[in-house]
Amino acid sequence: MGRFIVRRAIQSLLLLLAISFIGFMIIHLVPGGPEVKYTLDPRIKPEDLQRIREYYGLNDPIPVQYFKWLINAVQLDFGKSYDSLYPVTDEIMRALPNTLILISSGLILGLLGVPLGIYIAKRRGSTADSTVRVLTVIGSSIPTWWLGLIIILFTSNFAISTGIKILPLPGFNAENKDNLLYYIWQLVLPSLLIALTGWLTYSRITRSQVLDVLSQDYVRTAISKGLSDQAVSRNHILRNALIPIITTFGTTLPAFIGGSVIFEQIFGFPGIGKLTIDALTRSDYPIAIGVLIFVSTFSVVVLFICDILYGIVDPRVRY
Amino acid sequence: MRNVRRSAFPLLAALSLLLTIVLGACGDSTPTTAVPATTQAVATVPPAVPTAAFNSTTTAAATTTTTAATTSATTTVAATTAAATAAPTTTVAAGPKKGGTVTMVTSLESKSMHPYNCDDTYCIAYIGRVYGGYSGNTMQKRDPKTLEVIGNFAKSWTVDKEAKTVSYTLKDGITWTDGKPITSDDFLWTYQQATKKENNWSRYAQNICADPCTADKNGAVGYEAPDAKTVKVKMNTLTFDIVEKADFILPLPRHVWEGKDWLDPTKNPAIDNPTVTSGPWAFKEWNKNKNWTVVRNDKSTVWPVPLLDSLTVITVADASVGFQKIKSGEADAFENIYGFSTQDEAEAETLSNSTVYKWLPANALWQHISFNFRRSFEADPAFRQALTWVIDRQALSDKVYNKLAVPMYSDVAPSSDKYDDKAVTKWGYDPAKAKQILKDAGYTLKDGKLIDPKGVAIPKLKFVYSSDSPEPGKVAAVAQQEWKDLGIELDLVGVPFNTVLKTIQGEPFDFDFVTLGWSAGVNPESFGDVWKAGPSLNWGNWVNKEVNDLYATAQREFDAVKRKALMSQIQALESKDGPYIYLVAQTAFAVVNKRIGGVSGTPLGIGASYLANDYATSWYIK
Repeated sequence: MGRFIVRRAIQSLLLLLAISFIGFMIIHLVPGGPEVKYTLDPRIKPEDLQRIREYYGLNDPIPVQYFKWLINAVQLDFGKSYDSLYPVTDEIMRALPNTLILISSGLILGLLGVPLGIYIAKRRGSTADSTVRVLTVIGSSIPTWWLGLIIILFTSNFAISTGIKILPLPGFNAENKDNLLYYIWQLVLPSLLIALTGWLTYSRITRSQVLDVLSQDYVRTAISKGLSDQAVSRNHILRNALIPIITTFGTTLPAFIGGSVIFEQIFGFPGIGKLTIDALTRSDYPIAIGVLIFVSTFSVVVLFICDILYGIVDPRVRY
Repeated sequence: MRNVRRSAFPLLAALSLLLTIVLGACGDSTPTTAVPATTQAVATVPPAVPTAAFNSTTTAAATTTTTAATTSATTTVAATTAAATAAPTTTVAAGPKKGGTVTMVTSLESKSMHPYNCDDTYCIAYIGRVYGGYSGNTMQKRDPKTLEVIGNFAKSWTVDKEAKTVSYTLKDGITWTDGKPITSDDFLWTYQQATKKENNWSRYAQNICADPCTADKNGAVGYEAPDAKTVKVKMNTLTFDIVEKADFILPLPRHVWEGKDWLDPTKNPAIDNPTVTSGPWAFKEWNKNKNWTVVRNDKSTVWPVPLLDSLTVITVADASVGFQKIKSGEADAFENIYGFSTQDEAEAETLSNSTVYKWLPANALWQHISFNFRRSFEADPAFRQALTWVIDRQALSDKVYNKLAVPMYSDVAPSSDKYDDKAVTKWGYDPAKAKQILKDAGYTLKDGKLIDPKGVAIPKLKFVYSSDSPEPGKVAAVAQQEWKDLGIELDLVGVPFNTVLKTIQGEPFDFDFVTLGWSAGVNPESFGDVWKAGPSLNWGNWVNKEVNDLYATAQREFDAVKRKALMSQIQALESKDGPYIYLVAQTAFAVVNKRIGGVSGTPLGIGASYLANDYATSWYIK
C-alpha cells in the first residue's frame, strides 16, 4: 500500500504538471488579455495597451511566461487577479465556500439514491420499482438547470399573484446577509436539483449492482442461513455494491466542483463556476489558471482517495 | 395488460405534474386588470447649449514676457466662474421625506473599487457614488439636464491659453467623511501615486504626456498645488475641452492612504472598503457578487445630501431574475447599461408597479458596419454606396433593436448638440438605386455574382461580428440577405469579442466587414483621434486628410459656433463617403418602481447610473 501511495503521488504530480502546461498554453493562446477591455475606448492610447501587457509579462514568449508562473506556483503563489488585484488563492477561497455549500448539500441529499436503489432492487417489478424507473428516464431527459428556471418562474409568479412565497428568487439582499434561515431557504431548490442528479444516478447504479449481488450464491446462502434482512443488506449486499458507487461518487464530486457554473449562475451563488466564467470572459488569466489547477488538484486527490477506499471496502483489492 | 396499467399510472401522474409546472410558469399569473407600466420619454436631443462654462477673452494688458514685440501680448484669460453649482444642501420639492432604501439590480458587478484600477461602467458607478466623481468628472461635471460644464469639487477655474494651464479653485468647506478638509494636497499626492510606473495606471498615456512627450500628444506635463485651494494642471496641447481633459485626478484621502500599498487590497483595506470618502454616499459593505450597500453621507459637502437612507445594488444572474425581483418588489430599479438588453425593455413595459424611462443619451452607444479599405473593391466609392443603400436603418431599429434606436449617419450621434441634421446625407433604403449605382460604375452580374469593372468576380467576403450579444448577428444576417441581391456573397463569422478584436486589429486583417459599436462622448470632437490611432482603433484603415484636419481644427476651436460649423463639415463628409455604414444610435432605458419619487429624466439618464451625474441623491420614497 505504501508503494502504491508513493507511486500514485508521483503520477498525480506529473498529471498536474501536464494539465497546468496545457491549460496555460490554451488560456494564453485564446485571443484576449487584460488590455482588451480598454480597446474600444477611443481615449485609450496604444502605449497604455502596450504598457499593460508589459506590466503583466504578457509580451514574453508563452513558455517563458509558463516557467515564471510555475516557479511561483510551487511556492503556492498563483499571482493576482488582473481585475480585483486580490491574490488568486484569496479569490478561490472566497468563492469556494459558496460552491461547497451548494454542491455538498446536493450531493449529500443525492446519496439518498443509494438506499432508494436498494429499496427498488429488492422490490423488482413492483409499482415502486416501475415508478422510480420511469421518473429516472424523465429526470434524465430534462436538464436540471432548465427545470430550476421553470420552478423559479413558477414560484415567483405564484408569489406575486397570491403573496405566498414558496421559494425565494435567487440573489442575496443585504438585509438577509446574516439570516441563516434565509440562506438555507435559498439552498432548497438548487440542492434538490443537484440531489436529483444523484437520485437518478445512484438509484440506477445501486439497483443494478444490488440485483447483480442478489443473484450471487453467497447471498442466497446468507439468507438461507437465517440472517436478518438488515444483516444481509449491510454485510453482503451493500459492501459489494458500493464499489462502483464509490467510483461514481469520486468522479461526480470534481465534476460538480468544476461544473457548478450553471447552478451558480441560475441561483446566484457566486462560487468557483462563476469565478471561472468571469475570469475567462474578462481574460483574467491568473484566476483562470488558478481555478484550473485547483479543480485539477481536487479531482486528482479525490480519485486518489477513492482508490484507497477500494482497498478498504474490498479486501480483494491489493496494490 | 396488468403491467401496462401498473406502469401507466405513475407515468401519467408524472406527466401531469410536469404539465402543471410548465403551465404555471408560462401562464400569465398577473391580474387581468393589470395596468400597463407607465412609460416616460425623457428629453432626447438637448437644446444647443454651451459646452464649456468659460469664455476666453484676450486682454492687451502689460505682459511679463521679455521677448520681442512680435509675440503675443496676451498671457492670461479672464477668470471665469463656473456656472452656479448645486449647493450641498437638499433642494427638493415640498413633501419628500428623508428615509427609506432603494434596491437596484445589476447583472454585471464591479471587480474593484480602486479608482485607478477601474475602467468599466460598473466600477465607475460604485466609485462615483462614494467618491462623488471619477477620472474626468471630478473638478467639473456635466449638468445632466443642460449638459453645461459646471463645478463639482471646483467652484471655478481659469484657463491660461498661452501656458496651456488650467487652475482649479476648490469649493469652500469640502471635507472627507471623517471631517478632514479636502485640499489640493490630496489631489497632488494622488497624482504622484497614480503616475508612478509601478502602479500600472491603465490611463497613464491617455492623461500624461510622456515617453516621450511630443508636440502632438495630449496629456498633462505638470501638476501643482500652489496653495490649499488651488490645483494647477499644465497640458501639452491646447484644446477646447482643456478644462475637462485636465481633470483626470480623483483625489484620495492622503491621510488614510499614505504609507499603504497602492494596489494590494489585502494590504490596504481602503481600496475595497473605503471608510473615508467624499461622495454623497458612504460605503457600508460589499459582499462580492452578492450585494453592495452605501448609506447616506450626512456630511456630504461636495454633493447634496441624499434623501434616501441607503442604496443597495444586488447582483443577479441575468435579466430574467432581475425582472422577477422588480416585479415582486424585491428590487426597485435597473438601468440597461447594467446587463439588460433591448429585448428586456418590452417585458419591462408590462410591469405594473414600475415606470419605464427611455431616452436617447447625449453619450449614446452607436453601431456601424466597418469597411476594410485594404481591399481594393472596398476602396471604390460606388461599391460602398451601393452597399449602404440596401441597409434599412429604420428596419434595424424596429426589428433588431426593438425600436430602441434611431438611424445614424456619421460619427456624431443625433442626440449630440453638434449634430447637424441638414449636413448629413440620409441614406434610405433603395435597392434599385444601389443596383443602378453599380451598373453605372461598370459592375455586372453573372450567375448571381457581382463582377467588378475589370471583369473580376467579387469573391465571397468575410463579415465578422461578435457573438457575445444577439444584435450583431442579426445585423450581419440582414447584410447577408440584402447584399446577396447585389451579387455579393457573405461568409458570416460570429466569434467572441476578443477574437473579433484580434482579427481586426492585427495582421493579416482577415476580414472584409465587421460590425461593432462605439460609445459616443458628450464631446464628439474627440472622436477624431480614432482616425489617427492606427489599427487598434482605425481597423478599417480609413484615411481622409480633410476629415482629420477638420477634427484637429475643431479640437483647437474654442468658439462653440465655429466648432459646430466644423463638425457639420465633418458630418457631411463622413455621411457621404465615410469609413462606415453608420447604422443606429441606441436609446437607453431604465425601470424604476413607482414608489420612488424624485426621478427626473435627462439626456444623461435618470440618476440610476453614474452617467447621469446625479447618483440618485434626489430620489425619495413616496
